[in-house]
Amino acid sequence: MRFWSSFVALTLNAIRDRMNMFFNIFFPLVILIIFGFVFSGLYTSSNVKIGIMGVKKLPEIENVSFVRFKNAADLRTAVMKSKMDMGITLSTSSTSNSLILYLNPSNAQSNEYYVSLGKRITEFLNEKNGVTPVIKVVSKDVSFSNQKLSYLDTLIPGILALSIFSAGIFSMTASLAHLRDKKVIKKMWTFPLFKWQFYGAFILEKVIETYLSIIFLLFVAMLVFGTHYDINVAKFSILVISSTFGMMGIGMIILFFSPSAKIASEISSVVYTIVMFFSGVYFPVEIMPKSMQKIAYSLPVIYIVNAMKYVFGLMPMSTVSFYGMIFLMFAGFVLILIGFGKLFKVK
Amino acid sequence: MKRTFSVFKALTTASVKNPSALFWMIVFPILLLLILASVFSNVQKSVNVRIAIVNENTTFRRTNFDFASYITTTLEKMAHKDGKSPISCLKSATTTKALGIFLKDLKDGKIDAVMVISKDFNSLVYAKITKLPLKADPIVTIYKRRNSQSSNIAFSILDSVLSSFNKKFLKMKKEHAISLEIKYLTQNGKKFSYVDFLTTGIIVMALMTVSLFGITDDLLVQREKKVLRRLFVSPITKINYVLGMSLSNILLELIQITLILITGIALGAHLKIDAISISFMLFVIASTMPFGFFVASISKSANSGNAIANILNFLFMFLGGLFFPVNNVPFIVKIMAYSLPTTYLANGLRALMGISYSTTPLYLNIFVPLAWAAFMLFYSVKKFKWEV
Repeated sequence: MRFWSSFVALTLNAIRDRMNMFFNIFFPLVILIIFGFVFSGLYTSSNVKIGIMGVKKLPEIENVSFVRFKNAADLRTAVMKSKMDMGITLSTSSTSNSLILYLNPSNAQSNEYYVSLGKRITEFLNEKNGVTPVIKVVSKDVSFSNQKLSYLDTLIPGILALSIFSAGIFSMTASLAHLRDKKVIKKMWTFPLFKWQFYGAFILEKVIETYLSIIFLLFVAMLVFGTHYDINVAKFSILVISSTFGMMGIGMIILFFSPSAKIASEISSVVYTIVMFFSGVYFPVEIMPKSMQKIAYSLPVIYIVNAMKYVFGLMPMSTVSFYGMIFLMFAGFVLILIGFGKLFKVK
Repeated sequence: MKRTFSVFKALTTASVKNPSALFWMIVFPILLLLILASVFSNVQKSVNVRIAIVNENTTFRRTNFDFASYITTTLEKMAHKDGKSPISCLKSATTTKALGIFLKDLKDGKIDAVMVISKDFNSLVYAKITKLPLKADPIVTIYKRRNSQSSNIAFSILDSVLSSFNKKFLKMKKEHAISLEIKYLTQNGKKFSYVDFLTTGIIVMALMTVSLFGITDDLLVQREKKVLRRLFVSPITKINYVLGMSLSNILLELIQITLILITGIALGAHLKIDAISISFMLFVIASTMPFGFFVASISKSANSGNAIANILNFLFMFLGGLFFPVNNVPFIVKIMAYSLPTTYLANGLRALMGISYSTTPLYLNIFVPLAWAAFMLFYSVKKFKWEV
């Protein structure tokens, strides 16, 4: 009964705490929407404008529009001023013909895609001139799930994994530390309440809160971006709950070294920001330098990200690896208990 | 003046003694510059891919017309485990059974691409070169993983190798194909690196962060702790405090700019640093300063101030094109991006530092941030409460 009273009180406190709601729901939501739009646009441009000069026949390419220019200087300026995504001119001589592709180097993330468009146009022009390559190259895409997925589809599970990470560590370094600093916990011990009842209620409330916020974020992502997944609901639930425990354990470690809630929150912010870049969510780990890959694989978040992609049916993972990771994440619970019981002295 | 200096000295000392403030203001921008520069500057150079080849060809084997073996030998020469070679691992096989295993490895992420050379490859290449009337083509199929950067790079490597063979074959056929030539356009035709683009974006981000978090913290936390109330009992006036606080933040921002520029140049950035670009950096400082005052004016507590600052920081940072151009975002997001001051500040700074042409006219690069600054300053003067 006392356990449930504590649980209800902590739940009401969490709902009424605007900052808690802001950082658990609103902030990840804004990140999800901004990053969803910005990053999906970077890798697969939805509308590409190509400036052309000297090319008469052009292929029809989905989401690509061509704008004709009268002189090359204007075309180059348009590319440099980002009015055109890329420019194309045809240079012909008696010995060689070349299609010159002008790119703006500041589009570092999109240029790979623009080069592939340039190759398609070259192939089309050669074919029109009756010149076909001797070796025909056929490209075939394979994927673990056999689903046609966009970059955004793979981004969303990653953002959800990062939200579990932030919710887990901040629940300890912000919520619990604030309760300690404001001497709320001290007052609790004046009631006929066992410590396990309060701590148990706190952990349960945070796990449920994180689970619901992740479900909410997933729902909004599916609504805004129109994504759809084959989610293994049982594995998804186990992953969210175990990862929340694991990340709460990390939050507890931060709390060990922090004299106050303010310092704990600041350390958590620093850790979160660094981990975000090495999580493989926004920048694939495979394109990072080897030294950075080592850092990324020594952090726990990348494993949550990969497991999340696995339960969303986007990435392969062996059953042993998945449940091994779940076991390690649940081990975070031990850290929480140690913190509550011995190392984290609640005054 | 003396009182302003006392406030300046006290707040500067407080910032220097605060490890968190030092991290966010000094260490974080440099760390971000290092991470993003190393990730995006040398993507193609630093990635090693793993490739598998299935050579199913059964014709003209071990003859001068064994074109399939020329291709595989070229790839074998490119493969080294030293980390410098683009191909770190090359597996080869000749059976269809091996293809099934390789495709599973590709799906599992154990390799990055699988290249399959078709059965009659050599005879068909020979027929094409000698212009025999055959309808079939010598086909090379490249399997890659969807949405995988390393798989795309592996495909590019294989495709460029096959393109060079195609060029040679077309020469043998005496046919002139159109070839693709890539030219990167830069201002004044100088060499460009992504670090140039990034360094200027990070400067704008760092200056904005000092204002958003530094000034908000100076005003709201001190107000909440009743420090301001006590301070104004002394002969220090509000103007003394605002001036001292602004000077303290400007000093930190100048240190920031210097360190970011040093790091950027050390990473190979080509930046034009002259009176005009320095003047624009000072304009960035002046126009971002009211951000902090504005957040402090609309926030009831230090906590809510921190939350609002976080939201504005993310919006200005990622929609302002500080790290990546925002040309390809959906129309609605583009409208948002082009109504933010950071978009114009970054455009202006990049243009004046000789990095890239501004996508917006120079007068807008000054007017839009100035309009934001004027509005925020006016609002702050009217609404900020010194006591709660």
